[in-house]
Amino acid sequence: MKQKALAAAQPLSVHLELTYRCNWRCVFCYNPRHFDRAGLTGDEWITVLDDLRFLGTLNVTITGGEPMAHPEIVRILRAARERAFVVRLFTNGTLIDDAAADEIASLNLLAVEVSIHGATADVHDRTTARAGSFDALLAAIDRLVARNVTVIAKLPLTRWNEHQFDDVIALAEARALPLQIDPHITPRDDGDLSPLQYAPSSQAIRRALAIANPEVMERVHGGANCGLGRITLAVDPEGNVYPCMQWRHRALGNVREVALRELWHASPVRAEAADLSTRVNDHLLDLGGPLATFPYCPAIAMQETGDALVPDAGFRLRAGIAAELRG
Amino acid sequence: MRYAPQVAWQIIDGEVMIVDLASGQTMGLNPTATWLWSHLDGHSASELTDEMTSAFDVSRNDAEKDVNEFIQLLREKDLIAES
Repeated sequence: MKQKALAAAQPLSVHLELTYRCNWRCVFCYNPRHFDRAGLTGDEWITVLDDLRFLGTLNVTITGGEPMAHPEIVRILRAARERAFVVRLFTNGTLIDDAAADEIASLNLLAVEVSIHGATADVHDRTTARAGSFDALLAAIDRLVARNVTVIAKLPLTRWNEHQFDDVIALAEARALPLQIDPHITPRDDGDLSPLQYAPSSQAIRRALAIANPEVMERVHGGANCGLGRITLAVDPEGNVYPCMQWRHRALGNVREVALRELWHASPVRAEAADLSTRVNDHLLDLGGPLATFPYCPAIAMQETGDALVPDAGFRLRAGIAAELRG
Repeated sequence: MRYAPQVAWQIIDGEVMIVDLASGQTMGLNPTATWLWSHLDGHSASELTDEMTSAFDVSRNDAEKDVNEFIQLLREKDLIAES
């Protein structure tokens, strides 16, 4: 299925950033700001959904900022489900009261994914820069789980929380929550590299990779490194379209100027991004060794090294550790 | 008949991929089943049979057999709900 979609540049999986607004201020957040200049309305997002249906999207991830801060979030979620998408909601959960939880429970979302930044309030709240955010998060999780909503917890691993690695695992197990551990802190979408100062230690990365056991990339010459410009796309709160969630180098255009269904296949920026994915794939094959077998993000390489074909230090570290773990 | 509320689906390379969000199961459909799935929402089995007979070079008997078998399969997997 994926190969057919890659060949046809069918955007199977998309991220919709409903708003930059957020009630947390996570120190390493990828978002460049926490306000919208002229965010898309509910009607505009529903037009985007119609165009995604036309283009062949199956998976829609609703994210932000904090998507629950969009005044029409429930309407947008409902519209996404009415259009038969697989829908995931990325949220900090703390704006989900009982009424919102009831609505979410009625929609058959694939999952609600929440980020947890520590096993105790002092560690978690330090990261979010919001006192009380840890307790509010746990209450939100309980509220959703009580309504049989599938909740997945994610731990972005940082220098500030890695000492609670085992405690977070225990907390998730105690609540029977699936837990994903992400050892990769990325730059801000505007290229600001300051979040990287919070990157976890190599020891913590090693533990995380040992647990996650990441896929071994099986590359062939002429293949795609990733879905960039082919099976992924992202729309930001102001309607700018990107060929994947991470690639902010150049937008394809804006949905307020050209409908997404017209923009996607006609865009030279999309075609250039898709071509880059192939060049990156072949380049990594030529480099060989661990670099050829670990998942690579050319968007992050572009942000950190200035060249999508030049692997960033974080990738080299993780690829090396993963290769050592495989023996 | 309606698509069941926990269903998601999309056409990929001309064939429908169904995702049952309750079970996590996925199902790919062949071209005939793809056509039937794409046309069944909001229609009865009889209406679907009529449409299939019009759209394809097939007898009504054969169309009815295909439609009924397909609907039975979907019911067993809880992928459709009655209107």
